[in-house]
Amino acid sequence: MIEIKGLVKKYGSTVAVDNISFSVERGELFGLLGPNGAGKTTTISVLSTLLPATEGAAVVAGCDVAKDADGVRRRIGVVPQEIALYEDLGARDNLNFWGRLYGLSGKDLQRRTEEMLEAVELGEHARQKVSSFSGGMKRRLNLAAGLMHGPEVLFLDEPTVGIDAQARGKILALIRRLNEDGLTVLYTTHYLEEAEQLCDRIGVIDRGKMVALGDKDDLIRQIGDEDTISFLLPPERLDELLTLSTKWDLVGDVEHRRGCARLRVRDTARVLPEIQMWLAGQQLPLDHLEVHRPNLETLYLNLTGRALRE
Amino acid sequence: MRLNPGLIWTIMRLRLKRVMADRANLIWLVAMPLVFSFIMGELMGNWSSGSSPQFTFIVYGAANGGEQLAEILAPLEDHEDFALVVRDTTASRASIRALLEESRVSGALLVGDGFADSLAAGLTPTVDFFHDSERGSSQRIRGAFEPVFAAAAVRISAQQLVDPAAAADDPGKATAFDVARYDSLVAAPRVRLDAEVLGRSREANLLLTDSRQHSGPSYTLMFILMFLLMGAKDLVQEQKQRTLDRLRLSWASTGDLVLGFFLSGMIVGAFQAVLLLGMNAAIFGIDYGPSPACLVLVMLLFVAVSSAAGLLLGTLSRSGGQADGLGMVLGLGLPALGGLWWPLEIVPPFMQSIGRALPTGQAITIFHDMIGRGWGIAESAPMLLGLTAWLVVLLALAVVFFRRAVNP
Amino acid sequence: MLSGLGALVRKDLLRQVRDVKSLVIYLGVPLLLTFIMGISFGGGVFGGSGISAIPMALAGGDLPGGMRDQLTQGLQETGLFTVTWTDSTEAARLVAEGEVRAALILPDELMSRFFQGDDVVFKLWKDPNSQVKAGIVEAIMTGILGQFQAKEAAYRSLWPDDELGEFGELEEPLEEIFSGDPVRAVRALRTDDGALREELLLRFERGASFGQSMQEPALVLDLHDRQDWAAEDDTRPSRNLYDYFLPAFAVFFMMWGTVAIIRDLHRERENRTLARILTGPVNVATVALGKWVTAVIMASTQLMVLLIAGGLLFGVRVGDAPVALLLVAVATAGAAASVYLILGLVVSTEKAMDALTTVFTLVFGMLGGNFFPIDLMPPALHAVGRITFNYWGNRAFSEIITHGKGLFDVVDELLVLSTIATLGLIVAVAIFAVRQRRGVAA
Repeated sequence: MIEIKGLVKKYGSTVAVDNISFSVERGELFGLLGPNGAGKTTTISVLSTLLPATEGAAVVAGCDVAKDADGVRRRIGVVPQEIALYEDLGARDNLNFWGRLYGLSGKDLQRRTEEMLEAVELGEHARQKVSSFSGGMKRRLNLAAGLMHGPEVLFLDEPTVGIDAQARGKILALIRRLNEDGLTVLYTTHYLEEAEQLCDRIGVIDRGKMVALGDKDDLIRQIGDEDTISFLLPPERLDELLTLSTKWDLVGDVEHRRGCARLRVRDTARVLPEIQMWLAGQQLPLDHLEVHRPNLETLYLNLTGRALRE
Repeated sequence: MRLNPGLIWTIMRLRLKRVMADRANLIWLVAMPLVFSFIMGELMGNWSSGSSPQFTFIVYGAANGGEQLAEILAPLEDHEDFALVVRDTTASRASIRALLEESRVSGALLVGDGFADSLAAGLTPTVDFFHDSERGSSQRIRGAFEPVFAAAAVRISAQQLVDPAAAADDPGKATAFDVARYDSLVAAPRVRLDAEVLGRSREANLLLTDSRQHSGPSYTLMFILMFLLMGAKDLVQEQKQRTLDRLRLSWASTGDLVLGFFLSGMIVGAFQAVLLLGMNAAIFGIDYGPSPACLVLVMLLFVAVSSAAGLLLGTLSRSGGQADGLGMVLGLGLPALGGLWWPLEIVPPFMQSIGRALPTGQAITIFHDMIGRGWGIAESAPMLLGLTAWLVVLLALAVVFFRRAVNP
Repeated sequence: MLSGLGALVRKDLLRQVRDVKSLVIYLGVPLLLTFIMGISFGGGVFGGSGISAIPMALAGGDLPGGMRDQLTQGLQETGLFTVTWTDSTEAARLVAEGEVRAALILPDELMSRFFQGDDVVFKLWKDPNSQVKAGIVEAIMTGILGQFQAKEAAYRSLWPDDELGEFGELEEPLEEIFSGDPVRAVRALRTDDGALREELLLRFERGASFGQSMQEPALVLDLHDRQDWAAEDDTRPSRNLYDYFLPAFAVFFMMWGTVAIIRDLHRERENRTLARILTGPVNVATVALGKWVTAVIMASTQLMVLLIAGGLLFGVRVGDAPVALLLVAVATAGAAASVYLILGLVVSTEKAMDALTTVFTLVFGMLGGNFFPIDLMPPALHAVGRITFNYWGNRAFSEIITHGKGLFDVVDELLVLSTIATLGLIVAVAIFAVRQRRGVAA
């Protein structure tokens, strides 16, 4: 449904997207994961015909974005990161407008508007001005506006930024439902949990480059199934820990940064009590002792050497 | 009320920095007032007489007029107001009308067939003068031509009394008409009008008919008022963004905040006033009169009134849009009513009374009196008191509503 | 494309109508200022302008009573002056303090000096702050005196030896005899001095003959005022400055109103709705056209509301050629929308557009004749004024409203405005397309 090959987008000498390639199958929910400024929005802008690519090719719903922009536009829905709505109009007015823009009219328009208002649970607020909405309500309406015309492909650019957990949950549930109904979704986010919860396949993008791409579980498996144990440790006690750790079958070396020791272990059930006992014996604090299961964060850290939210 | 000068200064500095950080403000602060003063003052020239661009005045059918016509027109040659184009050929009335309608000429004279013969025969020939009473250039040509024509008509009428043969028997006839004497007497009349302006300097003949003397101060006042009223939306923004709450939660008392906002407005206004009045003096040579104290006082009062008005507007408005809308109404309405756009003397008496009761009307009247009459604080005391009254009322209201806004 | 265009226009109009602030700026402010202008200049139901009953002082004590009354009456009959007689000290005070606009100071021993052939100088003291009224007093006085000067010069050129001082001793001073009382003048002929009587009779006859000659002018100047021939059937009571300024200010406000609508393009860019629209099935031409159509509808409505309000309140005749008026309003709004669309698209932010359009609107307003009639400007600037679209709008409105012209008389103006509108729109779309190609349209 989406096919990208060697996509490059430059702004002068700045390379925003650097030779990325991936594809998204029909009915798939694909996550594009990366920190702010990684190139996610630029990629969506190129795919939705807003920006011309510097190099490379992209086909969306069978239409080439460079040659058949109109064809692409008719088939896609875009939910931008910003609340791209008319805040001085009511919810229904907004949806009516976006529907009309795509050629809906009369009863079809009316029906679709009501459907969407119900879908995003804003039926009771249909006449209310958007400016009076909460952040979550705005986000839901933002999503509904992108769905008014029943697109084949939906681009969601960080659709849950800045809202509370409950509102986020509602939006994610709706996206999942839409995907289950057969809608192809390209979802960008910098929230790992969202990508983990929602997406079938994931592309990790960093500084314009695609650093990992594939099935979510496969990607995590690539970095192994070792847990990471971390705890606070004064530097002068590091030698003691190194000596002790020789019997724990660690993966890699013990890391010690900013007063925090980090060990990757294969047998957490065995090692963790020993560490707890040792720390207690040394009268070192236990309350910072943490065990991390491998996840996308670990993957990202492994791939880029940085945490996603750094 | 507890006041903390250090905090007041901090608030003022913050507001001033924000004003100066926005380059677009410079357009309203400096560029537009100067452009307005310059173009309006320069292009409108004098209200009553005016600097004189060259307009075209065509005489058709000059061949019909003979020497008499040439004599009539002689004083109009090289006229500074217009270029006189004399054509021997004639033209139809319709074509002359068309020329005037299309603004290709500002006035035209049509001398009909047999003009010279009729004149010689003592008949009364008619010449047609085409003009547009709604066009200034046309009126100027008429204003210049009519006296010349009237003088010529008097001369020709008088010459018709010349009859050397009959003069001996008829006391109403003269033996000759001394043309040279007539011309010299008309040129240097014995009975004449000596007009002068009773301003502060009779020698300089300083007069507000030079519209720059009006437009310089008036656009300075207008833009100060507009700028400070437009600043009202900053206060609304501070309320919306909760920075006002944050300020209130600091050491600052309500008094500190009001004074901080009010004085920062005054500093911006005073900066604008000094810059614009200075540039008006430097570029247009405007002399504000012999009383610098009065000049400083009127500007301080007007700036303070404007700043208080902006503060009041900001506290009363519920949204930036509302502040903008009301600011626009007041920023344009008060100058129009107060005589900053056109002199109050040309509006009906009741509108003059309204104008002089408003701070804009009071300030420009003081300026006029300083520039034209050389008045100082004592003479302008009633108007200065009027401005002071506005200041007291507006500032008191601003304090009351500001308190309500920050302590709901 | 049409459904997209319809949706865009409908959305924008809905937003405009629901936005109370824009409506205030759009209609409230212009209506208020039009109203202020109207009551200042327009007369109508609110009465006339301030150019009437100009207070002036007259001073100079020794004018014979009859002549003094004649002068007062003559000045008051013009309907322009309210005359107060006083002494010169008080007159100076009245002028200096602005209580009268001007004072005419008659010279001492006016009649004696005149009849003795001495110079007679009238002084006119003017209020320094009276830009208009003192000028009117001076112009009228200069005109009256000009006539008198020419006649005196003509008399003295006909009979150069007719020096007034050569009369013998009379019981009454000569100025008393000629003070305007014919009975007294005839009585003067009862003098026993035969030569003197002959001399007086001669003067009377010359004076009568001269006066008669002056009553029948040798030349007649037939004035043809464009205002008269343009509206020969016009029965409206009077025209005034407001007839010009109502449409001129309406056009000026319309320019600001158009800026406000086109500016929305930047707001849409900033809140990303423009980007979202451009991901839909509309191209930049449709988006530009949408804003243009909205601006034209709003701006021409604004123009018509202002003109009709002015017409209803102040009697400006706006209803004689409604079709022409509407077409000119639409064409002017169309040209304005195109020009501002270009200005809006050559800059990247709302702030930059505000700065650019503010300067542009004020300068175009001045050059195009929205603040004062373009005719008052020097020819070079007059020519520059013609490149402004508002000049053509002002001109067409002036033709219709002031000169009572119809649709066919403003075809030229309509053509110019339509050309500006069409070419401007094409240029704007081209700029928008280039911006889109560069990826900076939204």
